[in-house]
Amino acid sequence: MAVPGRESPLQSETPQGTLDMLVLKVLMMGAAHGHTIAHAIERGSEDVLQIEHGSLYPALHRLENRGWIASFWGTSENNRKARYYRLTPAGRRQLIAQTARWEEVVRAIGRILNPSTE
Amino acid sequence: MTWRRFFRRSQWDADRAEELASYLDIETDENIARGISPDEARRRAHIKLGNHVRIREDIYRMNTIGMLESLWSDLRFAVRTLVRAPLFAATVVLTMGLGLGLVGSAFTVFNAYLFRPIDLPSPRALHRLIWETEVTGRQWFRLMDYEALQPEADRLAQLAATENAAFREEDVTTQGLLVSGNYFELLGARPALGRLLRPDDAAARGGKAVVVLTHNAWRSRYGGNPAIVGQRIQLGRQPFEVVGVTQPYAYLAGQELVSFYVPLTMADAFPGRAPWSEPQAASLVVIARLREGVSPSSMGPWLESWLRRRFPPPSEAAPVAVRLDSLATRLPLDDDAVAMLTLIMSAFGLVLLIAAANVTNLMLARALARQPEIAVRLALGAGRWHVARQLIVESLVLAVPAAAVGLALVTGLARVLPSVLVATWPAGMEPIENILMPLDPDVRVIAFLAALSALAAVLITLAPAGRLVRMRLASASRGQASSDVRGSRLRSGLVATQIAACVLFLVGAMGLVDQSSRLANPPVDLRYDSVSVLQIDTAAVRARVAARLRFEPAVDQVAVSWRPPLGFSLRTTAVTASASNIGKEIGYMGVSPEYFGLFDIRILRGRTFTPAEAAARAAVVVVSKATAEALWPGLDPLGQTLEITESSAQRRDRPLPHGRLQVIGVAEDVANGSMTDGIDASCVYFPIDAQGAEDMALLVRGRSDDPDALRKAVTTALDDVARETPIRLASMQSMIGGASWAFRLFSAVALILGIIGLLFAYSGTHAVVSFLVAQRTREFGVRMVLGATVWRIVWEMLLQTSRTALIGLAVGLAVAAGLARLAVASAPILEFGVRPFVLGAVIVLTAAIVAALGPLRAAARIDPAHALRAE
Repeated sequence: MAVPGRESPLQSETPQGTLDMLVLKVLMMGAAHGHTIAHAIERGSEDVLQIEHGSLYPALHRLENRGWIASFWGTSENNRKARYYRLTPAGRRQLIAQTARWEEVVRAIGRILNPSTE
Repeated sequence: MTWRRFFRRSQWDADRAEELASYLDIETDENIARGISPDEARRRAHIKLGNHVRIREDIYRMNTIGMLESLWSDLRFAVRTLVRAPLFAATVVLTMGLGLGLVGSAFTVFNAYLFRPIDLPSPRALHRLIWETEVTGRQWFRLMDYEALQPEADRLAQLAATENAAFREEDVTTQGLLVSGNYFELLGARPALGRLLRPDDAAARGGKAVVVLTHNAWRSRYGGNPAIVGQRIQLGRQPFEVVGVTQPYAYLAGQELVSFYVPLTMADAFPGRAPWSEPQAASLVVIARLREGVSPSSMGPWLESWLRRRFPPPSEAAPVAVRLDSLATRLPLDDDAVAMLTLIMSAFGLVLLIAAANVTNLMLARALARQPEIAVRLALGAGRWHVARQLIVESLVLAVPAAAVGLALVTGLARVLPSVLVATWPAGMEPIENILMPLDPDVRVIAFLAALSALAAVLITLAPAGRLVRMRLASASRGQASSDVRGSRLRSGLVATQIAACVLFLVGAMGLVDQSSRLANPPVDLRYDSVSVLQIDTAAVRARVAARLRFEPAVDQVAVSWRPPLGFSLRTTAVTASASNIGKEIGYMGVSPEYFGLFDIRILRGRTFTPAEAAARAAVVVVSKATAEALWPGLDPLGQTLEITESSAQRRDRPLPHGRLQVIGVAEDVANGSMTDGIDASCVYFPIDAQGAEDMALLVRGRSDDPDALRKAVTTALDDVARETPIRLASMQSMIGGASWAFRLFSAVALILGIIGLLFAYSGTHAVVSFLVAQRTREFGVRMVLGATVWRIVWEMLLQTSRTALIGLAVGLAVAAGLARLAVASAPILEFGVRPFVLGAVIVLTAAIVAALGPLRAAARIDPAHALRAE
């Protein structure tokens, strides 16, 4: 679906599929709206992952389509109407599976880049 | 999920817009809280979020089904394009509509008889139980068999029994049906008036003189009188009380002539075989409604083993095969029906193909005209597949009104056809109303038309779409179509095909017209005028009637034969001849001595049977001249013998004589078999007389040509010796009229197809030649400037057109000749002379040349200067 040259900044910074994982991870702490999620990812990465916040919304939509998160309208901390997302049980399982897989890949890459440390 | 989103996309989009707005608000709030001015805060929030329109677009696209989306836009585009070319659209719609309507009409007729289930609940479970024995192909049940079978079969099927009931008043025989009490319950039929028969109506022999009239009889005999219920009417030997009337068409296949239903227990009220008075008579037809989950293939073997136990092998009724004939439709979809269906539908399908060829030509011309437009679209990045898909959508958009035109035609024909059939139906036959089914288009017809028009739409797009895929962008966008050799060949091929099909139809039609005029007076060499066929089912009565008829002054001669001539193909049997030892399959016929005189069949050598030989079934035969020549070439047939060598295992409908049969006479060759078989290829006559127990027909020659006088004489004779015996009486003239009516119907249909084919071929040729002239105008202009005369150019075009026409003509004539040969092989009485071929060829060729003349005249008027400037 992604057209070359049109990737969002976040996606260009992070490997394919990791944005989904990050969103799911943030929602692990509890329901949140898009604004919170975007800032949580930035802050959590100590501003390494600078994102155009807009690119988050198609990702949220995709995750909701797959049934990993669910949405509802609520009120934000500063009394604004906001759409909240929460993790579904399927999303929780997905996060665990993806995290495990991610760690495996990172270890494998690490072994290749730094064979001496093993 | 996806579908719901697809249709609620706009609401989703609004939701997303609100969500993004909420993000902007929150981010702006936070920026203000950091001490940034409100305007700057909002600007930064926007930068942080990115292009919100694109975000929404991304999400929107995630919710669409791409194909469907662009299909919708293709659809709108197609409608817009076609509205701008109304003449083209109308021509395509009418041409295809005519083709679809013709094929649809043919299908509608078949549908009414072969596919539409009869109007009763779960008709597919209804079957007629029949078994074949060594003796007959249709063995029926005795009452005791039915009564024994019913409780045992109950697990698999409900059973009901019917028996023919008929009686005669004057010369009118009324047919009805004796039915077991559960008959209507088993059918699940409902009354139109009053009630139907119930089990308690048939509780005991002689029980309840009540009758249910068929809808047909109620309408035709009692004027649809609503007060009929409760009245008493005389049927056979006693009055019956009318208790109800059936729904229209609520009868089973084979009951078309039935006009009343009475309880089986009233059998004694009607003459002829009765289940109680003649317990050995096997005349009950057993109808089964299979229980749910039971199929004919599971019921059949069970019935076969049951019958085997009841009729162990030496019995004449021992089963050879068991049949469960489906009663779900008006006619069974057997091999004959499938053959007929294939033949007729292919003929009509050919018309549709001609129509499609015409439209393809139009589409090709249009595709060529649209080449620059399409080239521009391709150059701007439209996929070739997408453009091709647009063409297909365009055809489909045209197919919808075309199907509607077709449906209108089908509906119109459903109204007109029955009245045409009724008006032309020959007098003296059973009324055709009894077998006419309503022809209203139903679900099957509409589905058939829809599928057919979709298929036709794809068919007419194939050629233009194929060209599109091969199109060269550079030359096309300049409007050049010079590399169009393949296209013009395709177009000429299409015209040649049309001409071929048209020739085929015209030759066929004219051949059939020739036949039907010939068949009004078929060359059968039988003097059948003023001969009537009298069928009496009861053997004893038949002999008495035959004897009595000889004393009627209006009757000239009386004879009997196994079957009336000119009705059925002769049965054949293997025989071996003495002296020559030749073994052959020979047609045979049982006839009384008077048969030869009655039909004026000349005895060329020897003599016919004596009455004593006929009564004793002596071992003598008369053979036809052709038979004598085949069995004893160069020998004197008289005094020779022949022996029937067929094994006794072969099932026969009539008892054939055994032993050596001596030839006592040679008869001239005539047609004893079916009319379409023509003069017998071979025939052996066995001696019989009216006393025989087997089924036979009485043949009565009147002294005058007046069938009514003969009818009166027969009625008087019958009243003398067998007051109530039902009969069937028909003049041979009217029987032959019925057969040639079918031929006339066929030739009328073929003629209509031929005329429509001719119209298509004419317009197809016209369109292609005009197109060629228009396309080559510039070339002609150049050549004229270079010194070519107008006449040379026109002559060249004419040659080119005639070449196409001649190729089509040759193919069409060849196929027609092949089909004519096939037709003659299956119906030897047909005779195809040269006339239909010559006529067909001349008409089609003339039409093609006339069609080319108009455009050629336009070519002749080309002004070279003008043509060159047209660049």
